[in-house]
Amino acid sequence: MLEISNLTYQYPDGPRFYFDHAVDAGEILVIQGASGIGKSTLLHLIAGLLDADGGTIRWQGEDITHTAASARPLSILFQDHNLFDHLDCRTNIALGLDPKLKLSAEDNARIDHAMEKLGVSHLAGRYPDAISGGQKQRIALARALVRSQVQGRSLLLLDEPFSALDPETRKDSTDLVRMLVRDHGLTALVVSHDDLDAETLATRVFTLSAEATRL
Amino acid sequence: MAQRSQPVTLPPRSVKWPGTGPLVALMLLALGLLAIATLAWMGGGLGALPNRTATILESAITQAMLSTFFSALVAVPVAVTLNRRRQWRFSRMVRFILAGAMVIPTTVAATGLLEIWGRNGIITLICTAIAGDTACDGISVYGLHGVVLAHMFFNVPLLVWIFMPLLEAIPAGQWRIAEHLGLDARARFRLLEFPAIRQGLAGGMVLVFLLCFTSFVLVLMLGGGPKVTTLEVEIYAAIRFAFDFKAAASLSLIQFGCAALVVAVMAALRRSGRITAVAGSATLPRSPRWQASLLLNIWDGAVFMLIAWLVVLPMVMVVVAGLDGDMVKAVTRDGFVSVSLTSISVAVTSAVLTLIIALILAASRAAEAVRLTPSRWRLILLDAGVMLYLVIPSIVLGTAAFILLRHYGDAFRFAFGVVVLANTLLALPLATRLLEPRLSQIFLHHGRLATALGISGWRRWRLLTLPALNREIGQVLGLAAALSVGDLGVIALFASNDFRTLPWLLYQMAGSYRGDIAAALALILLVLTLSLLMLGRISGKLFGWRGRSHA
Repeated sequence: MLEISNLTYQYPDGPRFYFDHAVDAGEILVIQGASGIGKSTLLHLIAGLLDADGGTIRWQGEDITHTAASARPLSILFQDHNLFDHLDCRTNIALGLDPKLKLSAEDNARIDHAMEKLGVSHLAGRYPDAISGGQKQRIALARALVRSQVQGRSLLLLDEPFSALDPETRKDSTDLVRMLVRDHGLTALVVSHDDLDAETLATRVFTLSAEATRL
Repeated sequence: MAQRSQPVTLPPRSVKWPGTGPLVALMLLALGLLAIATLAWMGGGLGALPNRTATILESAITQAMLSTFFSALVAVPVAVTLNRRRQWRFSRMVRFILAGAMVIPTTVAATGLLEIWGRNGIITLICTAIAGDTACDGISVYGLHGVVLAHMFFNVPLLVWIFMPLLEAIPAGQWRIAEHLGLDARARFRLLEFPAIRQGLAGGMVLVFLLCFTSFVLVLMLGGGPKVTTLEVEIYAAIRFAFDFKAAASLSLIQFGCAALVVAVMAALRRSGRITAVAGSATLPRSPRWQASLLLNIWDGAVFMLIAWLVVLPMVMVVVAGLDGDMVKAVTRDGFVSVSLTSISVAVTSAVLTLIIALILAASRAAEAVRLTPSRWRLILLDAGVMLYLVIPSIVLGTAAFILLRHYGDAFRFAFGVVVLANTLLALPLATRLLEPRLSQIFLHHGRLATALGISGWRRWRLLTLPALNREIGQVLGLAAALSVGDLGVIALFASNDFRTLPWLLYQMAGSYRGDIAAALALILLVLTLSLLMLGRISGKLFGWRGRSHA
């Protein structure tokens, strides 16, 4: 279970946010709300990309509020820039296992398996600027998958990852996320503006409101 | 099926800037060739090459390669550290000092280096205090190592200046992912920082090589004799002391050929002129989001110490020597005010001219580079036009102008125009390099939209391009003015009682053993150079559209 208690964050010269929510393990929570309401801020706080001013974040009972971003038990996907353009797709996935890229045979087998599962084996040697937007997101999801398998990072944060995709690719991607969550026991928080994402993906929809989040 | 992501380039006809740039580049090249032809004509044709030509070439290439290698070796970690420590309180000041070092007059820089490494420099003083006179006899700045050291003073900042925008253009999202994946400093360097730097490494190193290959004042002052020389020095000697215009023209052609070869190789090595990697938000998170280890802190500290030793200390020594000099005599000399005003008016005029020509050339090159199928020949032509001043020695330009203008009366009457033109050409390579990346970004980001909205021609420049370019315009004006105010090139031929500049005055004082006045003038020149540079930067921030932080 993910517990967010009395979490506050103040942007320099910007608004102050407050969050207090709980997400059950295995849920796919789609977070909606108007622009600037704090959806991405919430995800960045959970991911450790922003440091909370107060409050706590607990995952499976463990306090991760002050854990370094790279050590948190999660993977995050953004709308873009999820991949390094000068590295091929396989290396981009491998980075999720070991930033030094010292991979064991077992690691390589896991990468192969993840690529096969997400239908991107044929892209292994290709570079991100030579593949489609949907394929890029699949590669990033494959990286999240190997991280969840090896390092137990079973929390998946998706910050509007499908908003730049066409409807058909979007549906493919949401199906993939559902499949990953179901087959690998993940928990997902998805920020999305799209009602269709809420309908097709969510086990629960949560709408942030200014009254609840702005202090 | 999935949407196809395109490389961020423009279709062939999205940016219409077809002919002006190449035309200007051709004119600049023609000007250079005319200068050499004039010398050859004056001497009655090309002469036989001096016997030492091979030795001269070997010396020039050796020192240029060593200078380039060591400059790059230092500049890469300096740029990475400066980018990593952007939040550090003194980071902006360090960057300004580095920018200043690029443009301070070579005579002033050499003075600073001599204050450190010279016979009476602080290194010798410290050494003598510790080990005694005899042990320190061998310390000398003259020779190959002195020339390399002096070149590093100028070229480390130049390369840092080239690398920094590339590091700053790494998208914020990539830093987030790096942090998320737990990349340590080495992995970040390997996966993020060096790939960004690599985009400008070859071009930057070629530029530095050409600058060192054609170096003049520093080699003359610190070379320590004929063993360390360049073609430029030999051309100067041929014109000034031997009046051998034939040899000068021949050596100029060799220099022209060598530099043209280097430019051509650079163009051939370039995989593609397409710009694909500059898109994206250029902001780091507000504060460094990684834990700096003790080792990293020590490393960064060592890098800052290296900058202090290599660049800051020589400048400090100029200030110390200047304050110790005879400032009162320097500023109360007859004609000091008029000489200063002449210097400033030359600087301002050449800065404006540099900006106009650099805008034309950089826009042409950027427009070509962002096309899906850039013309390699057009890019080579534009490169060659920009590199003209590196290719054609200033002494050749000046002498040719002098010879040609004699037919129209007193050649000294044209001194202002000739010096302005020479100084403009001097600043062009840096000015275009400063403008081009930003213009590429602007063309990439606004090109399609502007075309779709039918915004073109001057209106597009006025509405979209110039307002988004205000910071770079200010920097170019400051840079060109600073370079111009300190140049001691063509003025050496055109100086007269009616037309003198501060560098010429400094040269005269130093040559007539008025070291106290020369030191004070060096300080004045240093302050004036840095002030012009700062003024340009401030004006770039004050005027124009402020609402851009991202392309």
